[in-house]
Amino acid sequence: MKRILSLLILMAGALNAENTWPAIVGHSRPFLVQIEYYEALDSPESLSQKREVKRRLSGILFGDEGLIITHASIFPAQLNFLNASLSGSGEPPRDIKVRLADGTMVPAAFVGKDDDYHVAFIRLETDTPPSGVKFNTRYRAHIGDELLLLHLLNSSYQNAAHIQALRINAVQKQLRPVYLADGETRALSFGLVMNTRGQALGVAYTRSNSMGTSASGLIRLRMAADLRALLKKPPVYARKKRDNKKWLGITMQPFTRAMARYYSADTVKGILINTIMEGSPAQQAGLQIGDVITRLGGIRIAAEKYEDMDDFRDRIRSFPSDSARVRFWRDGKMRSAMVHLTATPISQFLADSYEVKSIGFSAKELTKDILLAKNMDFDTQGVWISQVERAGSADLAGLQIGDILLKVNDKPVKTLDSLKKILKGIENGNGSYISLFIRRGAETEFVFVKNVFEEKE
Amino acid sequence: MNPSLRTLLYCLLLPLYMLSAQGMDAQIQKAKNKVFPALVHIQPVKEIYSGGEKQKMQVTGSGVIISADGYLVTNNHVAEKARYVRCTLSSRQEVTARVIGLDPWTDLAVLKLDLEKAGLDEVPYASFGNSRDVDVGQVVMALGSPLGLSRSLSMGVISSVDRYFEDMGDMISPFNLWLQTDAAINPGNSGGPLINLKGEIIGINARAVVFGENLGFAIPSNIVRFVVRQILEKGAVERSYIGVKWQEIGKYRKYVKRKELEGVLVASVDKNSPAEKAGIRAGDLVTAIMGRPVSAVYREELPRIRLLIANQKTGLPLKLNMIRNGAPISLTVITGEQGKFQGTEFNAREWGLSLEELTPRLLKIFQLESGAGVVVSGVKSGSPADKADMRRGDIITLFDGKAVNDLETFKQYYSEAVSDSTRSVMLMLRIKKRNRFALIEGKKN
Repeated sequence: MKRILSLLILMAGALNAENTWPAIVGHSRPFLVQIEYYEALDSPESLSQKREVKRRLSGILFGDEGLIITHASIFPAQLNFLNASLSGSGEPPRDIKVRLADGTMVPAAFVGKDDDYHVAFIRLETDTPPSGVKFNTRYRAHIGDELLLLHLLNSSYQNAAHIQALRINAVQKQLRPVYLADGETRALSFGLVMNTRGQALGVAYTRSNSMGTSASGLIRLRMAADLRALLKKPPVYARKKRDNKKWLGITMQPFTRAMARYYSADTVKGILINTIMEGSPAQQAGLQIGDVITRLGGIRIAAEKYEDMDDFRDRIRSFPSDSARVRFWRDGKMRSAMVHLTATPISQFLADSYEVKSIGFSAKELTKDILLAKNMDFDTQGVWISQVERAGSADLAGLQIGDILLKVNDKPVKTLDSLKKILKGIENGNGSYISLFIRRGAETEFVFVKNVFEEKE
Repeated sequence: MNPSLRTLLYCLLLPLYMLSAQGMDAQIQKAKNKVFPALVHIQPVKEIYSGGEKQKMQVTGSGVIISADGYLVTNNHVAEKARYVRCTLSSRQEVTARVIGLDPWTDLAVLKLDLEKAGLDEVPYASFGNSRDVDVGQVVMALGSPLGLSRSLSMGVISSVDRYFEDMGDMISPFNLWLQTDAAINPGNSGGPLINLKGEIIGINARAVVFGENLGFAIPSNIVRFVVRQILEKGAVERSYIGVKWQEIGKYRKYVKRKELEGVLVASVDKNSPAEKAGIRAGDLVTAIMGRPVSAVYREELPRIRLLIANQKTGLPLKLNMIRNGAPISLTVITGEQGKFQGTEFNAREWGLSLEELTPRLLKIFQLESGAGVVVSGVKSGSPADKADMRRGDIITLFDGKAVNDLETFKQYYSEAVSDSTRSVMLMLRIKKRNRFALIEGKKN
């Protein structure tokens, strides 16, 4: 009874002083947490020395299940094959610890992330998680709206809460809505966006990509209304799982008015297919190079500029069902087809790798990002060299990162498993030579590697 | 050492040393005097395509006259794409020259001085020595125009007689090893002679290492003589091609644990090449070509094997003895023609576009399966091609829906299209494994 009373009094106090900054800070500070974690730094030149580096981020505790939303840079690996870079670690963050507002440290586990929204989720590993913020998911942001941003300063300021007033100065609608506000946030760059009464509306960050670079002077705001689906059901990362986004398997360009005139199809507006990838949903649906897609799932496709392509790609990636009706223009006629949308192929970060410690290299199964980068056929199967230990036996013999491994000791290598099988028999032959038949660019060659076992101490 | 003995040695050494220095000086002067009058300062004006436009550029190089009637040798990279060539003889007389033949594969070129126009009957010339007799440590001199400073001489020794370079982009030397010297060689020395103390040309200076010191490289005179003779007889060096990349067997021997093994390994077989058609595969160990045993334990031995094949007539059967999976077999390859080093260029001026023919070399670089198409070598800023987002390296495959098989086809379609300036043309481009449509818009009425 006493507790309820004090709660009532507290609430009354909050209501009375709802527009004052001290009250807003006091109310919302508990939702801001500091996250410490270790990021694996895989060096392409070193197999044995696994380095990790301690990093800090801030995050926002939300809901009642101990979920925390933070920036996607907590796991920098690009999961999608189209944006993937060829180096970096595929290991998710480890040893995550969350410092709550009262100073207690609670361990947490990585849940998943969304590269399109640049947000990631972690979960506190405790049976009785503290309550988090309740986002208002109905708020529609407009240019000029007055907002508040609450975030944590870094440890040299004793993680003090920092509040600042913002206005939405620009709106970037395409792809996913991003609201931009003038200003700088400091150090731990993930904060809580509220209206002037202290109601939680969204999140803000200055980092725009995994490298942590920021557009100086601009804060990016993501509104809970746009994140609703993610907040309700955060993406779950699982190794080897396919990307949870869908794909069509084409590359495209705007079908411009000048092009429409060229084909005497002035009324046709849409996107022009210029490439169809082998084995893609588009190919299976019978789409062809030169087709102009005008509607997707009944929605008209605008495509005058290249940015419109992002919009279309975004629609495909987050398409609500597995099949989509596509209307397209071909040879002067409108046609339509059902496309069965499958999961986007994974990037090399999610591919299995196999380390051959004795001769100092590791190999990964070929993923679509590597095939694109290497200018190889999209349905090629095989294994590529992803790491070569500096000054190791393979390095000295001239093996290079990016080489495609075709044969080992004259036996063809089609998969990572076949490589494991072949090497199992060889690894005991200390001092002998192994023949690696590789492809580099348009040519093949043999690399003869001395099989050396380092003495174990 | 015993002090008295040391004094004795000095007494013996000193006069000898002075004597040899005197002799050396005389030898240097004598050798220099034999070649110096034949030295040529070359200033070609080149026509190159840059940014989608034809542009002119003057470069400076060196050369050496090799016959009384005015033939001279220089580097291909000095003389290629030359619209006209201005030469200055060591007498400082200016004479124009024309290009007789180019050989990019050895970086050599033969030019002929226009003696008649210059009012000359004949010119002094230098003669070739035998580069096989050249040895490490031998004193040599480099003559030429380093950094444009004409009629310069530098001296040094031969540092190596069998330097091997892997091909790098346009810098290739598949058929020769290099003479390395510490005689100062700078840009502008290109095409000038490297001479011995007898005053004979033992090499043509062609390369230096940027930021390296005293690392110059010359093409051995025996290669030069061969190429010059071919160019004078046929206008070009005819070489046959089978499409095999060879690999030395030094480490292969260790892999198969046979120290005495002889032969050369097939590392790679080009797509659609004569070798592929003949059934040659990577991993075959070739032991004899036309009955002649071949072997390359070290990579320095590879140019000789490449040369052996290149020097065969094209279209002839070539018997290769080889070991495959431990068993001896023999296969016969019909030699093909070595493709052009550089394709013909074309300027589609109305579109602000320069184009290049797809040569076998480019096909390999772009990893293309078929030779159909033409490659964009430059785009002029603000031109119709630029507005259509065309870029250097794009390959044009379709022209208004019709296949562009080669440069000639493109030229034909292009000239038809530009005759009507209001006509728009839709091109299909290939960029790596992707395509893109590009609309070249016609002028609006």
